Amino acid sequence: MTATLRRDPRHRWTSAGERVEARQPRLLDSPAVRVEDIQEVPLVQGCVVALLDDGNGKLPASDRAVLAAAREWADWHQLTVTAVVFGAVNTDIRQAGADAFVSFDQETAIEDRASAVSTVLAECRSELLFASCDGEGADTARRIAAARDWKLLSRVVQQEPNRLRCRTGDPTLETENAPVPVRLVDAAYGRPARAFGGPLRKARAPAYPAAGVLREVGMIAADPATVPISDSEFVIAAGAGVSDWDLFFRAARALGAATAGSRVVVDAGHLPRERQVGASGTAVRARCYLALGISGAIQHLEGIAGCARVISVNPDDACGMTSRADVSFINDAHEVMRALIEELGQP
Amino acid sequence: MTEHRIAVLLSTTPHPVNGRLVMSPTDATALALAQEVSGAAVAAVHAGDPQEPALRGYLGLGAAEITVLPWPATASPVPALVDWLENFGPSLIVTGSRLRTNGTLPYRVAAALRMPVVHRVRSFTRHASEWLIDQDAGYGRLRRLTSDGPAVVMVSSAAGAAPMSTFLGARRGRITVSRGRATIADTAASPMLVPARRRPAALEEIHSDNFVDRVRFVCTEPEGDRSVLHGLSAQEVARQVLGEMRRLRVGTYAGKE
Repeated sequence: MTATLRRDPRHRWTSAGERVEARQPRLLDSPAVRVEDIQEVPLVQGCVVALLDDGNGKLPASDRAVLAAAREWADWHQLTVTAVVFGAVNTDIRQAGADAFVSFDQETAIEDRASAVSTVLAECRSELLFASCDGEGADTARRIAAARDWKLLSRVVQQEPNRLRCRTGDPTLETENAPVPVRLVDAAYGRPARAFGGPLRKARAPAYPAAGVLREVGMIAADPATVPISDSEFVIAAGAGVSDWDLFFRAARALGAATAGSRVVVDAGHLPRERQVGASGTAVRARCYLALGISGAIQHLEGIAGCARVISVNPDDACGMTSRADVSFINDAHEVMRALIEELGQP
Repeated sequence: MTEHRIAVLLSTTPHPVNGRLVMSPTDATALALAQEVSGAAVAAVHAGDPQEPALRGYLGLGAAEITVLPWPATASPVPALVDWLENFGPSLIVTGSRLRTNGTLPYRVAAALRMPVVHRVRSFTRHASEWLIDQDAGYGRLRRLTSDGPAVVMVSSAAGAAPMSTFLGARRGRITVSRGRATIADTAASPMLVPARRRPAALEEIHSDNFVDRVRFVCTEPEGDRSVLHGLSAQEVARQVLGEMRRLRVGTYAGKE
């Protein structure tokens, strides 16, 4: 009796007898788009506009949800997704679902942003705007909805081709609504169905009329000592490697930074509990985090997950903070503090 | 002599735990801030049910009278408020930031009255012949705006908690019913309530008790270059740190070009 070749029917096979590996590419597997690969094109007609907030260097979860919702709706209706960004664009938006983007200046006043996005909607002849629930995008979307008398739905958490589901204040109830032009997407919307690759197109930003009724007189700077560290922009944190506390506070004052510390330092009483950074302390979302003498235990690193730029000064080059920080200097913290005070020229 | 009239738009929100309608906290702060402006007559207005018990809480904050415009709860109150505000002629309209349904009410009122809107406001005062409005600009900074004409100001929760509502004030205050000539624009039926489905948490908010999950979340490499610099003197390190600060414009270099 001849032996018959038996193929496992649970897998897919080619006629040559080879097995076909069916594996969906994961979102992180797509190659990152380089800024040089971006082609400039005119605005696409008939697209879905997604309004993104500026994250702290990374694409925030709220923006991923907005792009996922826009992508899903665009796929159902054969449209493309144009993302509107104020500031530098993060090329991760291609993986998250955007086909093209329009970028405006980051310094655009809040009142003018609605006018800019409205001009994009008019030039694209688009009647669909997606934005996040919290953040600047929500305010801009509401201004546009009010100006054009469009209906708006907030906290959209699921879409179907003829229905939208929104969260309510009650966590056990959701509402089902008819589709509306302006949708604020909840951060728990979910991941996009597939990963995207290919070129990201940049559309030319149209000129828009300025709103111009209110006049900005100036900005009042924040006092780093009074702002809670969860809202601070620049934080200097001390760990077990800092022993000269007078030097530390003088350096913080000279740099104009908010003081903070790891658990070790707060337990020893050098800083109050409100200034503890970590899993059981406060999560810091600063644009710059300067860690002096912190070894970087996991619980501390959880507290700085939202920081844009982490700089570490630590004599140990094998500690957790050195591998987490964007720039690590292998030096003694006290010498660096003295040098900083000297460079800034203050006593 | 009161020269300015401030209109405060009040609303009721469901309590987060028991669902009963209560005072909106940002509306209460808005009312308290409006009363602190010297030389201004404050009028509080609410569009809804005149018998609503939650409105007594606003009376306890020092408002002697609240004008209620009878309006069904399902319809948008914008036409009623716009009609009343056109008759009132305020020089400033103040309201809170808590969402009523979708949060567009202050914007629609402003669009109908052709006034600018300022959101995330921490405080406002009258100076010379214009309004000085301080807006929260992120990271504890304040952005100061001036407005010659009337504007709609949305007070944020960062403006501080309102003073406690007093029982005596609530008993003494009056609720006046005023029927305007506004008509209901759309009789939108209430949206259908359905049971919620379980949703996964947002991608970046992993607070799992599992240590392996936390390590994985924290230690996944973000994109970007990392550098570890050995052998630099303390002065060179200081210069590089200050260079980073200058590039990011933080600390003492904030606001400098």
